[in-house]
Amino acid sequence: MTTTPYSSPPWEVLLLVAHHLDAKTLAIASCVSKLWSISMSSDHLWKPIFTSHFPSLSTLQHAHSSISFHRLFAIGLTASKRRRQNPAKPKLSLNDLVFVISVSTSDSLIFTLTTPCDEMVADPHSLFRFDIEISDSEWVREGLEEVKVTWNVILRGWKAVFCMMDSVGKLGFQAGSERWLSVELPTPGCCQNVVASSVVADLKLGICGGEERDGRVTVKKVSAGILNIMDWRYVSLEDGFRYLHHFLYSDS
Amino acid sequence: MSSSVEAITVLSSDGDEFKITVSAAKLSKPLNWMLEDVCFSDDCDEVPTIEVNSKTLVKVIEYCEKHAPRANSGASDSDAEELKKWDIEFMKMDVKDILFHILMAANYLHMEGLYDLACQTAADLMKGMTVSQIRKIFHIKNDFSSEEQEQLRRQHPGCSFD
Repeated sequence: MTTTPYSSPPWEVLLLVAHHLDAKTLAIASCVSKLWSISMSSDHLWKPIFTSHFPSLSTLQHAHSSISFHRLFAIGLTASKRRRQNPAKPKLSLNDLVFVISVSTSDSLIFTLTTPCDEMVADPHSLFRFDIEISDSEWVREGLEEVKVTWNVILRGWKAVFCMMDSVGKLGFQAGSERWLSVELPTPGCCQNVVASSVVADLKLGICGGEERDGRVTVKKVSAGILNIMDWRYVSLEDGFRYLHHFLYSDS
Repeated sequence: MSSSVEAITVLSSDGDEFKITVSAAKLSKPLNWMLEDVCFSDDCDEVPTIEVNSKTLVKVIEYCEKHAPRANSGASDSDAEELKKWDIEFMKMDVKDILFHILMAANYLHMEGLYDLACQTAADLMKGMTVSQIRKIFHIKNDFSSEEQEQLRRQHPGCSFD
């Protein structure tokens, strides 16, 4: 018996095998060598793959008949990936962020807190929402009061700051009540003027005190989070980090 | 064709003689036609040549003989399971040496089962591999220039090359 010296698989074989490959493997195989590229790039192979994967793009070939289905599939794939891009793991984490929140009336400070995120009570469902107990809040008279509320997020080490909220308004200080404040946040990235971010900075102040305190009340608890106003849910912790990353790092 | 003949003799493209049972030969359409047309009795001096080299033909005949009983009678599911396992073992062969020859032989001999099996084996070897891994498995030389290589990378953003 003679042995056959090996040469790379002939094109006939490549054509036969090509029909058994899925789109991804076929695309990779088309980059192996010139012969493989010719054998694995034919419209004959790619037309059915392209039309089944991207029916919405199927008219593109009529627009420019010399473009190959192989090429069309590649750009279709890139386009679909861009649309449903899986966000990268956030680069920020709890111990990168410090919240500075303060509430003051026109003449006096009610409270100010500077708390690293990792020292706050994190949301059990991994949402971007934190509860903070306040021990040293001043006492104020019950009733409607004009207050200034600011919430800044500092990148640990004072490397950057992002203002979540800076608003002035009337707030009803009433014992046993909770008061909400929310301010629309800017859109991350480009198109800030044309696209709404649909997220708001959300602060909740828990007020207590009252009669036994001679009609004076104080802020005992603050909840701070980012709320999505499309579905009225708090954004996930990871999405919150991604959002803040845009404003705390200049490279994004 | 005489009904008493149980095995026929064929020549490989290298000129070696091989015996194949009639029931096994029936797995290939061209061989089946040959059985009907050519005289295969012992006293017949004409031996048909199959354009497949000896090394490949040995494997093809091995496959035919294994699959013939089931193809001719129709067998139980447990047999089918066992045969599937045998196929997997059978396909554990050197890619560069023989797989592609088997594939072409199966195509040439119209043997659907073996053809699908060989194609699937080759396809499975490529699945999940990077471009350079496929080159390694199939011993392919990269004949693209570095510019062409760059262009390919740009055109196939989702593909892993290295």
